[in-house]
Amino acid sequence: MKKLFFIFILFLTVTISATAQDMELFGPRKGFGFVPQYTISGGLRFDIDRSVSKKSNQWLIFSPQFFMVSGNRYGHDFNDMWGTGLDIKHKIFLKPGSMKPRGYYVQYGVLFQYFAMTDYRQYTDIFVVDGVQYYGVLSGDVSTNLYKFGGNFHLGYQWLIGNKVFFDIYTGAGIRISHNSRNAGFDTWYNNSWVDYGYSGTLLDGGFRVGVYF
Amino acid sequence: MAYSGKWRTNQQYKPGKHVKQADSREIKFIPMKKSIFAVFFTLISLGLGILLSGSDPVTYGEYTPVYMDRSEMENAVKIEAAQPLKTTGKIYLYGQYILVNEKYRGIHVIDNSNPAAPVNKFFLHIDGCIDMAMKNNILYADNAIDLIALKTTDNFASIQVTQRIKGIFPETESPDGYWSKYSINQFRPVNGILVAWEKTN
Repeated sequence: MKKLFFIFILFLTVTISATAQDMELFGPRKGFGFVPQYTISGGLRFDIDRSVSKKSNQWLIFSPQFFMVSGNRYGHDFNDMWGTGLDIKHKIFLKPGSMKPRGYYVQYGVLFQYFAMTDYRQYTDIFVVDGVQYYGVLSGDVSTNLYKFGGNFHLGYQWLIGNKVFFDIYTGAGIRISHNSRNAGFDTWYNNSWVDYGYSGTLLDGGFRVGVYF
Repeated sequence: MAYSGKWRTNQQYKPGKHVKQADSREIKFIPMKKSIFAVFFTLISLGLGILLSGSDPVTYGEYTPVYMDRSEMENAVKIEAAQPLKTTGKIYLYGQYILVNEKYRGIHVIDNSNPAAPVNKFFLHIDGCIDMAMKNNILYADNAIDLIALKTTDNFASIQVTQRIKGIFPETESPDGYWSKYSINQFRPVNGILVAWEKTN
């Protein structure tokens, strides 16, 4: 772990130490992106990119996201569901001597998501027959709040088209920890797979985004 | 390299050469293929999102699991008044008695001393019971995942659990095969033991 930390610090130092004189310059310091694959989860995610140094090619990316689903999704029958979240990442381009946000990069960050949902589903409840207590599985409308925390580490490649438009693909690993207001501890009902809203565990993450710098 | 874009300067592109000129004038090149690539992927993923928004409706099996706390399950073994036969299973003949399993609930004790008019005498409440055998007034039955030995009197007027071997049987699978182990555990209360499958409406 110590080794990894030192490698990371060394990498940051090398990245930051490049001087402005050597640099291939890039004018825009802000960007706006869109992550289309979030529509699969019934969500929209927009990225606000902000350059954080005039001397090195590092960016902070704030990604607010909004979800709204009614109907069937990932094996759930939602009467209604909405959610919101925020993803914050630090992105470091690896090409030395260039301020242009293109080429290979690494990024890491944290995220939080909140979902409020009501869906028709099965749930466990107590019933008593002749003084003996049982747990049965019933069906009905159930309201749940989900809180999901996580972190990601990505490697990616970004194309810069005409100094304005960017196209960005990335892949990496992440972790998610979800809490369900109905169940103590980790969530189970919305934890059917790594794409599910209440997933807890590690995952291989990936995606792409498009946007513009201004 | 076969770019289909257009150069904005009159200079020729030389493969393998840096695109940056010595006088720092930058060659502006619009690679059409990349733009088309970006637009194509955006449209594909948006389309996927729309398609997946109408995924298959959620369905449930015909049966649902019933669980009990272990202590509740062990304490619930007892003699009850005779009950009507509903969902019967195995039949066992012991002396003048016929033992009829009521699936997942217990055993009916029927006095067959007069075969022309058998009498439903008692009901042995044993949750999760689907099988039984009897020898020397000891009734052996499954109490969900446990095997129990019950000492009975000759007329079944009293019973006593003399031995319990815990966890010897696997939990029963859903009759329609719908429920996976994962789903069963998803609804399982803490320390809950699956004792029955109940048919839903």
